[in-house]
Amino acid sequence: MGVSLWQGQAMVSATISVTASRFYDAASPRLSTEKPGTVSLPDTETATRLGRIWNVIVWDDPINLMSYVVYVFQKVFGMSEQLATRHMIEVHKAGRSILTSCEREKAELFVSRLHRYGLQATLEQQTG
Amino acid sequence: MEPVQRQDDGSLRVYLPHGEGLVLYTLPQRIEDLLSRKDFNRRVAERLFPVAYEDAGKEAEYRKLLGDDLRKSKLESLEVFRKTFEDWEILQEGVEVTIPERSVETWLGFLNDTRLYLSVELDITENDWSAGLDPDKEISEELALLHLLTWLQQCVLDALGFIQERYMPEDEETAGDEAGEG
Repeated sequence: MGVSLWQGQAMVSATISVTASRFYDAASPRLSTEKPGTVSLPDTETATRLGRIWNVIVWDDPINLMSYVVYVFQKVFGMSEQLATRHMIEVHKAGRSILTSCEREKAELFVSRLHRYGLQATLEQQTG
Repeated sequence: MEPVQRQDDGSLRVYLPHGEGLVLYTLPQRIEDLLSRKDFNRRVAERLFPVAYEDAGKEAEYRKLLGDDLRKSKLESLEVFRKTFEDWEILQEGVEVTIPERSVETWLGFLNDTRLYLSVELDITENDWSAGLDPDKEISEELALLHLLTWLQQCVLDALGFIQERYMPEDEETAGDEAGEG
C-alpha cells in the first residue's frame, strides 16, 4: 500500500454547497413517471406478485472484496461460511449466482439489502 | 500492532498514522463535494442505486416501495462514518477511532460505497485492477484513495474473521489479485 502518498497532502477545503441528504437525493435515480402518493396495485397484479417464484441473483463485480461478499451473504441470508463461500466463488467464476428463490416481496427485500451493501443484485422470475 | 483490533465488547479500534487519519476524517465531506460537481458522473448513481429489474414497470414499482429506504441507508452510513471520526483520539504516533459494534456494518458500507464511487470514476472494469502496483510509481489521487480504502476495509474484515486469503480460489492464490467479485 502506498499510504505514504497521503502524508502532507493538502486536503479538500470544506466548501460544501449541498448537505448529505441533498447529495443522496441527487444521486438516487428518480424515474420520470414517479408520482407522489401511495402504491396501489391492481388486483390482478397483486395475484401475479403472490403467485410466482423469483430468483435473487448477484452479479460479478471487480471491486467488492471476496471476503466482503462472504460477509454480506452471511449477514443477509444467514448462510454458513461454507455456503456463502461457494456462492461467492460461483459469482467470481460464472459471473452470477442465484442466492435464493422465493415470492416476489421477499425477494425484493433481499435485493434491497444486497444493494445497501453495494452488491449488484437483481430479480429474475423463475421459469418452468 | 494490527491497525484494526476487535475489543471484548464487539467494537473495533482503528489505529492510523496522522496522514491517513486526516484523509479519512475529511472523507465524508470530500465525497459530498466530489459528487455535487456539475460534471457528476451519473454512472456512479447507477452503481450505488442499481436496478433490480430489467422490466421498467417493475423497476418503477420497486423504487416506489424500497428506493427511499436505500437512499436513507446510504445517508446513514455516511453519517455513522463521520461520527466515528468526530470522536477520534489524536495520539503522538497517529489517530485512534472506535467503531461501536452496532455501527460496524454501516461503517463498512460507507467504505464500500466510496470504493464503488472511485471505481466508476477510474473506469475500473477488470478484477486485476490492483495487481502489479508499483509503490514507487506515481498514481492518481483517486487510485491511491481506492487502495487506502481497500486496505482499510480488508483490515476491518480481518478483525471480524473474514480473511481474504481464505476465500481466494486455489487457482488464483498466487496471482496477487487484491480484489475479488461482488
